[in-house]
Amino acid sequence: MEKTNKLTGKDLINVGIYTAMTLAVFFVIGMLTVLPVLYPVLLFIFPLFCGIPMMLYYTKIRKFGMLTIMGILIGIFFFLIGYTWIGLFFWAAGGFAADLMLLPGHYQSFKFTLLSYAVFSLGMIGCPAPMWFAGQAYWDNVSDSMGEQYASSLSSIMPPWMFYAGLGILLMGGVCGALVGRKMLKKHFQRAGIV
Amino acid sequence: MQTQYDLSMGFHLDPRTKLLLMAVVSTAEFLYGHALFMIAVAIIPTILLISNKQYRIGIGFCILFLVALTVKEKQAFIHFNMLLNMIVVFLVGVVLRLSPTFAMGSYLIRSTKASEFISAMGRMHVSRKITIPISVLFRFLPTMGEEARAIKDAMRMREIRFGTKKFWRNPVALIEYRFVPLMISVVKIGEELSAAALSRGLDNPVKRTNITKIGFTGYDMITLSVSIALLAVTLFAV
Repeated sequence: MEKTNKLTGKDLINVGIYTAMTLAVFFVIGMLTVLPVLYPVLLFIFPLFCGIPMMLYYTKIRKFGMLTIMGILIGIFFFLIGYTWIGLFFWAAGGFAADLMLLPGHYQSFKFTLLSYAVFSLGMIGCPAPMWFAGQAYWDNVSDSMGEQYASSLSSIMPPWMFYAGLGILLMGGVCGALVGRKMLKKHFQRAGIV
Repeated sequence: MQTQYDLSMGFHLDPRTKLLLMAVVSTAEFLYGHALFMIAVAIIPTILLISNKQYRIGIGFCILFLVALTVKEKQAFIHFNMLLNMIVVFLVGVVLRLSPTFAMGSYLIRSTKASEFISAMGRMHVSRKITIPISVLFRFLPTMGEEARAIKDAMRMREIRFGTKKFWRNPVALIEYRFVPLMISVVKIGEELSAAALSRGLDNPVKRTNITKIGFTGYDMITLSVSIALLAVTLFAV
């Protein structure tokens, strides 16, 4: 087949597969959100583990737009389970920015992959973001459904400055995740002939 | 084209109606109301699941939801210690919030064929760049579950699971042993899927046609009006 810059069916199927995988990882780790104390730590753990499927995904990306679509899909998923429009917006924006980051490296350079994954990880701020942007209504809702105690301990752990700190943590997690993912890629997937 | 009454098919809904109901249910859960409203929200997926002969999921969901609701009502009178309370409150919250969406999602996935879904999305003028990944996503979630179970069994033979001596010696290995094989098999299945899709002309640029008949029928009207009436009455009247 001749090379095109348009997304072909194969690319779109890849988007679906890797979105499914990343969501599965997300969900397994998401069980840890029982304890709000862990929230800041989770911001590090999520990008760390998602790095493994994502690095494999990055080996398949050769065209613009695949990360944007992935961001939108994950965003829609989180919209449905109640992270509001804010969640969708951050995920889609993270995906688009990650796509832009890949352009200068011509999809070959690991440096730009690392950068792009770190930026993609920033989109994960969309999950806790409603806490800071949806205002009082969100907090009323939390204390209604989860109880006063949960709400007050959550808000003491997530003060407004946590948004910026959270971005920093995610960035670190993204870089570590990319490195771990690359190690896994070398250790397992290249040997198995997947890459 | 608009209405094709095919009564021989029995009770079925247009995929667009299902999506609308899904959106309604997942939004309604967050309009946090009183117990009656929440029961009304939970009734919709329960009835739909039973109509689709998914009795086990339907009844399981129903029981889980009622238990969570009871615990929530009684919770004010029982005092656990702080950590236990947090966990109980969180679990109850998650069940009340998310289980109707998941029940609805399970109905949506099990009752809709991929071609029905794609042609419905096409009628809504959603780009194929979104519909193809979504239908692959739907197809892959059950497959991944199956594969994960098979790998779990295989690893159990090697004593690689929670709690064994081998696990405590190197907990991170659990992730590696479970997740890496899963990823490899999913990637392989994905490659086969793309080959199958390509040979059926997925990349053909012409406008695609579809023999699947979709259209709104009387069932859609009835389901939508009943569920909206149910929600509105319990939200405003009580």
